[in-house]
Amino acid sequence: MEINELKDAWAQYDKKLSKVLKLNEELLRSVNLEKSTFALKKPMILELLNLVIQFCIINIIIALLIQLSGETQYFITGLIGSLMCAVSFVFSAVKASHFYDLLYYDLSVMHFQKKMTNLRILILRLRKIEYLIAVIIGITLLSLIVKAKAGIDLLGDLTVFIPAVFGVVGLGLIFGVILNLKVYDKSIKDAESFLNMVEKFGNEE
Amino acid sequence: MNKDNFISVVKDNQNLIFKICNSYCSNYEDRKDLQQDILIQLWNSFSKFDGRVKISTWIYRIALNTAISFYRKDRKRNEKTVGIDASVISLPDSRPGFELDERISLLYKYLERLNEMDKALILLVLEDKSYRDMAEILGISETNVATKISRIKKRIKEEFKH
Repeated sequence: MEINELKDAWAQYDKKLSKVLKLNEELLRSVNLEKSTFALKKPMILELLNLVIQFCIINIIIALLIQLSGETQYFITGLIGSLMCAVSFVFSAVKASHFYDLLYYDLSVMHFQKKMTNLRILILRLRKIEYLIAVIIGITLLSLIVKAKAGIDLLGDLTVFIPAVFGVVGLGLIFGVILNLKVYDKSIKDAESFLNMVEKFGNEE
Repeated sequence: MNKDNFISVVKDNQNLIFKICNSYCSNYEDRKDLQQDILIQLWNSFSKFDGRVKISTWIYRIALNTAISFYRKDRKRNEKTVGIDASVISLPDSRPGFELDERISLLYKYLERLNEMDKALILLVLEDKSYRDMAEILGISETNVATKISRIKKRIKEEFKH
C-alpha cells in the first residue's frame, strides 16, 4: 500500500469522525480549568519554596556561627554547612528557572522534548548530590543548635560525635547507593537514550 | 481567553486531539487522561498564542508535546488532574455507520510500534500537512522533513505491502 492510499483512508476516517465525534461541552464547562494552572506550576512553586527555606537556614546558620565564632570547630562546621546550603540554593534556583521555561508546551516538538529531557537528567543528577548535602546541613544545624541553645558540646565530645556522624553518613551512603542503582541511574540512562533519539531525529538530513 | 472561546477552539480541533490520543495510547483510561492533559495544556498556553502560526499548527505542537511527555511519564500524572472522570471528546455509545476501516486499524497497530518522534511525523504526514508546517511543528528543517518522508514512504510500502 502506498502512502497516498493511507492518506486517503485517513481523510475518510477524519470525515467520519467529524460526523460522530461528540464534545462534552457541559463537562468541559463544569471543570475548573483555572485550578489546573496552579497544578502545572506546582514543581516551580515547590522549588521557590525550597529557595525561601534554604535562605532561612543559611541565615540561621550564620547567626549561630557568629554566636559561636570563638570556637574554631563550630566556626568551621558552620562555614561548611552554610556553603552546602548555598550550593543547594543555587540548585533550586536553576531548577525553578528550568521549570519556568517549560511551563508552556508551545515550543517545537524537538526543542521541547530536548529541554524536558535535559531537565529530567539534571534533576536526577542533582538529586544524588542533594541527599548528601541534606545530611551535611542536618548535622551542622544539629550540632550548632544543641551547642548554642543547650550548651552541649557535640563536636567537643568526639566519642559521641564521630560514631553518630559515621552512622548517619554510612546509612545515608548505603541508602543512596541502592537508590541510585535502582532508580536514578536507570532513569538517567533511559532519559539519555531518549535524548539521543530526539537529537538523531533532529540531525538527520 | 474565556471558556466559550476555548470550547469553540477545542470543538473545531476535536478530531485532531482525538486522533493524537488514539495514536499515543492504546487503552481507554490512558486516552482519557491524555485528553485531559492536552486540554489543560491548551487552556494554560492560550495566553501565549500570538497568531504567528495557524491555530491548528499551534495545537499540534502542544498536543504532540503533551502526548510524548505523557507517553514517557515525564511528569506525575495524578498531580495535575482536575478530576475529569469521563472522556471530553468521545464517540457516542451507539454510532451507526461508524466502522473503523481495516487500513486504519492496521495503521494504529503500526503506530504503536514506532518511537514517539516517528509517530508524530507519520501523523503529520497522514494529516497532509505541508513541509513547512511539519518543520514548524517538529522543529526541524524542511530538508530534514523531506528526507524523513522519503524514508517513511519506503517503510510504509514495505509494512503494508500485503
